[in-house]
Amino acid sequence: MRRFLLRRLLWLALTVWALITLSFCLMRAGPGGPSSSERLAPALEADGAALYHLDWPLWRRYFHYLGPLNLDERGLFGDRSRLLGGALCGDLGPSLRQRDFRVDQILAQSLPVSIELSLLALLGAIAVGLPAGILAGLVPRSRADVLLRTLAMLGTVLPNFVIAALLLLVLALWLRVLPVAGYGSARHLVLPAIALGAPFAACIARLARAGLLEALARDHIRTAIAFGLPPWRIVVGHALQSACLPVVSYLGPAAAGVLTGSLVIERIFAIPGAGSQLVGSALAGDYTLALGVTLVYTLLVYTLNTLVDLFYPLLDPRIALEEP
Amino acid sequence: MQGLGRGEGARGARRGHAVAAACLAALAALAVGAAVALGRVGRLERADFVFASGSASASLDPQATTTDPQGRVLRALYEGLVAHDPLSLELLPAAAASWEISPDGLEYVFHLQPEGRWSNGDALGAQDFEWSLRRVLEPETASVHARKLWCIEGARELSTGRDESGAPVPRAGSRLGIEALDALTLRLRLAHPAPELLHLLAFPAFFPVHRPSLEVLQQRFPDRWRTEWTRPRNLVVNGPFTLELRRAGDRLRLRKNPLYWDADAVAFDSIDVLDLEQGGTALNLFLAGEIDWLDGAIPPLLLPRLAQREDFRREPYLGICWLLVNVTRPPLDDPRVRRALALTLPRRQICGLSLEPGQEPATTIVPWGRLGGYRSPQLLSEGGDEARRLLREAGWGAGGQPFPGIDIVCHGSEPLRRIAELAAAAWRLELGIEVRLRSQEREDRLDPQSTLACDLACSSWTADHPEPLGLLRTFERGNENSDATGWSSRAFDRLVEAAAREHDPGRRNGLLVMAEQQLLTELPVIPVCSYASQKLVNRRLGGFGSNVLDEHDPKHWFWKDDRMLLRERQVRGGRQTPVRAFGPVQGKFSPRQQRQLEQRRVQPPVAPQPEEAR
Repeated sequence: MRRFLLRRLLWLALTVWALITLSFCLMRAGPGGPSSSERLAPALEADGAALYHLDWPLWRRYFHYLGPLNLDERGLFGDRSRLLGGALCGDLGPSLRQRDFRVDQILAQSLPVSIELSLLALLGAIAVGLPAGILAGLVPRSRADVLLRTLAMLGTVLPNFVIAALLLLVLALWLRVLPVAGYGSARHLVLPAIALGAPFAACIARLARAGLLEALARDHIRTAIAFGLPPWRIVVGHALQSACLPVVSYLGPAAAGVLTGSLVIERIFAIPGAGSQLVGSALAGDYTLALGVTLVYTLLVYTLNTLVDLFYPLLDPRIALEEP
Repeated sequence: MQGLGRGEGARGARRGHAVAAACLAALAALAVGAAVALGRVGRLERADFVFASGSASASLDPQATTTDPQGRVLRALYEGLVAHDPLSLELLPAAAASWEISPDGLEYVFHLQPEGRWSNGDALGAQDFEWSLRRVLEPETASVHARKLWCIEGARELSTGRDESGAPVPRAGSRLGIEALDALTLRLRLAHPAPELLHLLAFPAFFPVHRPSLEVLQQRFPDRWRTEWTRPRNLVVNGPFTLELRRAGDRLRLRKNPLYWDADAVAFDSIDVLDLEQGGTALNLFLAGEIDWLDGAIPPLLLPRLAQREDFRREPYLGICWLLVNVTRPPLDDPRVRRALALTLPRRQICGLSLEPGQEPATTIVPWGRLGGYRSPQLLSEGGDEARRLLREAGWGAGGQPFPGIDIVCHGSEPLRRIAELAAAAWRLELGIEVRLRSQEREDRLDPQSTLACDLACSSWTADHPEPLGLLRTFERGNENSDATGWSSRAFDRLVEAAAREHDPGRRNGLLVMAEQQLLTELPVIPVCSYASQKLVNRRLGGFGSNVLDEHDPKHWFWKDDRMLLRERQVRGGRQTPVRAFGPVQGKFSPRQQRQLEQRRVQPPVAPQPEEAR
């Protein structure tokens, strides 16, 4: 267990370092800078460049950005009033386009929104997918089963932005029962949560159905039927537990998937989450912000995956954390 | 794989139960989390007025203004010395109640509003303006608009460290012509006359900044004060609205400022500025009545349909797209060749196929060929035959030397690249000239080095004040368009200088017409098309003028009531499709308008009634 965690941490450090370095190189290679879209007198331009340290040599900018040592006039080479800084100390620098914000301020405002939307979507996916799957599994090959399976297949194959567009058209623009986009009240989150959660609900339904069918075919269920137990007790007491295992093990990847899937959905519904900041910053050439959001997403997905890996042996004792 | 769980009947069952319990607990935690999150969301009421603007993410530091859309927010938060009338663009008193200009046009004295206040209660004084205007010029601010104030004595020296001839001067030692004479009087001394100065002072970059709050934060957060002082709790402003809330990537919520000297004239209690870049989303929001003003982000494919709506507005805008010509090397150093290119430019086709619809062919330097009382000379038309004759005269083509290929460079945007492509295709067809397209990926900025390395540069220009002088001046020796084309002329400089010294608008325009005439003859720049602004505005919105600067001041906005809307529709007649006007049916007026309306409502019935009784 400890060795497993240690190894994971080491890999995480390596991943983060590689990410920062790679992004830094891409940043230098990409076009534009903080002041490149305006016409400046040469003297003014030099001052603007100094504001963003564009006049420093590349190695100094890299290590200043990476941290943990602060290399500006108040850090190591200056009066040393602030020795620490850089990405490794959580200081991701100012946003290049949203000039009134630092990257960490933007993340502090937008990440909770993304997490909130993801939570809602995931919860909705479970609340809809699980009962649907169980229902379909109880009456296999019936009309209800065929209908549910068709819906689940649709939910799996349609990308979430297509679902979003359809929902928008029908519920928001034609029937006008829900707001079109924006963020301000709970009603604003309904459509995005449905669009985001639908593919996961479909997947959960299919897993639950398959799990239940498999469980119902087991020997101990046949024994229970032979003993004359009432059907509801057989399902609730004996079959459901093992039927839910694949669903539970799917929740980890689903959580990561919901979080990253919200990029597009946030953009469509104008939800001010980290996902739409990532898309916006990448399009606008706001490199510091793009890197900051990527970094946080990497950390989140990595942590979620590690948690799921830790959880697996609890669910299924046949799986071990460490290879012998 | 290790440790297969064998023969652990009872323990296995217990473990199964434990896992089930853990899953249930996790689900419950999820549900609680979601409920808490929802509770946190359900707070923000709709503001009185909501508009979408990419500018919401821009800086609230007026001296860091770069674009006009950003000015929309800044005009709500701050107020400059003077302001523009939303319809006529005439100058209105703002933070300055009145002003005087000396006869030689070199000294401006402003008398500030005696009841001017900052939003924290401090008095707004002439020192605030003195300090803020100086801040624009200081190199540390790196304001892109510093150059506009170079007409003030000592300003160029302060911002560049060099005087007019380019010789270095000490920055600290230079005397600046901005001076607070007393608490309410500000004096500006100019180095040369600049009739456009008053219009310039209405521009957001020259709005005042609250010095004490800024300096406190600069001391407390030496390297992050920029991001600290524009936070809602720290930002002190002097305009009709204050900043109540700001969420990155979402919105700015503005709240009416009760301490504003003219708060009586402000109708809206709150305004939301949404940060929306997605054209489709913004349009959906507008059609559903969730935002009230949408511009820029209209998807071009939907324009023909949207243009039928009565809330669609298309207005001329003081912006122009042109080709800057490098006149320093052959073959374009010959005005006849430049004229031939200008005559065969397919302007109509360019406007039809443009990626930014709504443009009009331009044959003048001043966009739309008119500006206030100014009318541009018409010297350019389209003519392939004349163009070919001019080329032959210049010694190129049939009978002369073969015409060498020329380069066009595009600065940044996709629409400009499209224009360059169309121009190149037309010249190839009409004149047999080989044109190479070079696009600049790395720098989207216009700088002389890059244009002078090429023959032509496709570029655009927008005005920030309604005076032709400002535009024509950019072609004076040492100014940006002269630098970018390598063109200059003593005669032209003399004309523009004379116009700057001329107080009488008629005579000034006469001089400027001659200057533009010279530009259109020598063609250091080939005009392509004038821009138009296109927007959807809730019909209920009043006080929203249409002007060539596309400048809109939230101070004047109000909601019309249904009666006013009805009357308006009757007056205008309807060729366009009527649409629903969202918003309060009873309107929303400023306290002053409310009083006027009540007076009007009370008075008229009083007089006729006795007659009717008889």
